[in-house]
Amino acid sequence: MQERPHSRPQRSTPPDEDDGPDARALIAEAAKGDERAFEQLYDLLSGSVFALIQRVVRDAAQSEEVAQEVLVEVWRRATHYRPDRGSVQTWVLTLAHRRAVDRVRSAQAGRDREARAGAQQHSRPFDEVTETVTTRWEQRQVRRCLTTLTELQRESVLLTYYRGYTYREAAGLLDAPASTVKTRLRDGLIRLRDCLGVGR
Amino acid sequence: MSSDLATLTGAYVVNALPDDERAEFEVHLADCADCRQEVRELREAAARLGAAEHTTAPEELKQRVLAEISQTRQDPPPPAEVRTLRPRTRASWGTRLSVAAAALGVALAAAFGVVAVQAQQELDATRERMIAAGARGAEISAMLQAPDARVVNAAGPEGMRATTVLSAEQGKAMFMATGMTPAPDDRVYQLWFIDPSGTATSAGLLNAARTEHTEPLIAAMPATTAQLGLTIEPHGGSPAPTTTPILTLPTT
Repeated sequence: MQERPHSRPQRSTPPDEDDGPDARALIAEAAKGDERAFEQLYDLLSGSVFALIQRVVRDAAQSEEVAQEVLVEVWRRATHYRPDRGSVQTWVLTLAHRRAVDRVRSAQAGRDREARAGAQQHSRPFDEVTETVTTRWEQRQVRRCLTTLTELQRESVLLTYYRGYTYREAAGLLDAPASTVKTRLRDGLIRLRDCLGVGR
Repeated sequence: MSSDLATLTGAYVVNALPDDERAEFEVHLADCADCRQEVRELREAAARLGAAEHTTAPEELKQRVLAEISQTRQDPPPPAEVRTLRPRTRASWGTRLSVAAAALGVALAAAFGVVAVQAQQELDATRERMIAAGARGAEISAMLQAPDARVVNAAGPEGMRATTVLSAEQGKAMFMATGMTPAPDDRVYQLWFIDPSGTATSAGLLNAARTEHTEPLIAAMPATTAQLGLTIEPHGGSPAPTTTPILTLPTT
């Protein structure tokens, strides 16, 4: 087994279609029980995993719990990762997002959340995205691509993804029919996919 | 893609479906290959929203995670044998895929000049190399993920072996051969889709240039195709076969 150079978390050049060779090589080694490879994978992905979970869950202590759960699950299920199904980063962040959403949903019964959501003045997640200091290529790219969505598409996507709302909760916030939000989610993600050039 | 359910792909990938609708959609997903493909693509897009977030995770989180993994047994790799139960959405590939992957993996391994090993990880590694080799690899992966992907193997003259992956659903065929005798300089190998009446449509020329292995050839397969045929044609190929096929493979 060869030693792999420690990969830099900062990238100034666009990542290729997926993670580049590193994450895939590392997860393949981790799947064979190599804890050092897993540690390198951790270094590669934990920044995004933790940031995303924190964004959805908000609470710092709970975010750490969820992040730990997710990262240990990555170790445990490394043998299940299939390169042909998508990038390592996508696999891990999909898992992280799911667990984060589970956490906020279990924290409150849906109807209760919906009522609160409806009564809340909602700040606009897009502003939060745009206000982040964007030094990373991915962020600039995502921000640029988000501007190609219609406002309703964008808000539907951001409220559900970053806040963990159901499409019905988001519809309540956006004062739009639930069925509309459902289709806007799909349309918005399709635009995002095409703008980011992922998936095909 | 049909039905109202198909429009749920977006809500599904951002986890915006309530549990009951999520479960219902996952059932639908098992039967809708287009939806699965769209979910895969939209998931990549959604994950970029996550990847755009970045912070430094607390140092003690790392210590806790590393401590816990050293005490955590990993799942065994998913079995590649026949499953009677439909695998869950995020489980390993279905039966036919494993079979297809195994058969194809051997062919790919041969094509890439590495020793063929049946182990799933080796197959994955081979496919990785394919994917690294360019978009064709991705196309091959997409073909392999078709729920109806089938593999047909055939032996040709002089130790030649051909492997074909077919997906009626995707309307594609992928053909590759090993043990080919390189065609003379002024001749080429040409692949044909042949319908039941014997009418042949060109599937393209095989690139068997300097090695005995062809590069995989992927072509859109007419729905009426009954068999594939391989002929030797003058340089540049022919509009219709001018010689008797040296090899035919049934596709139905």
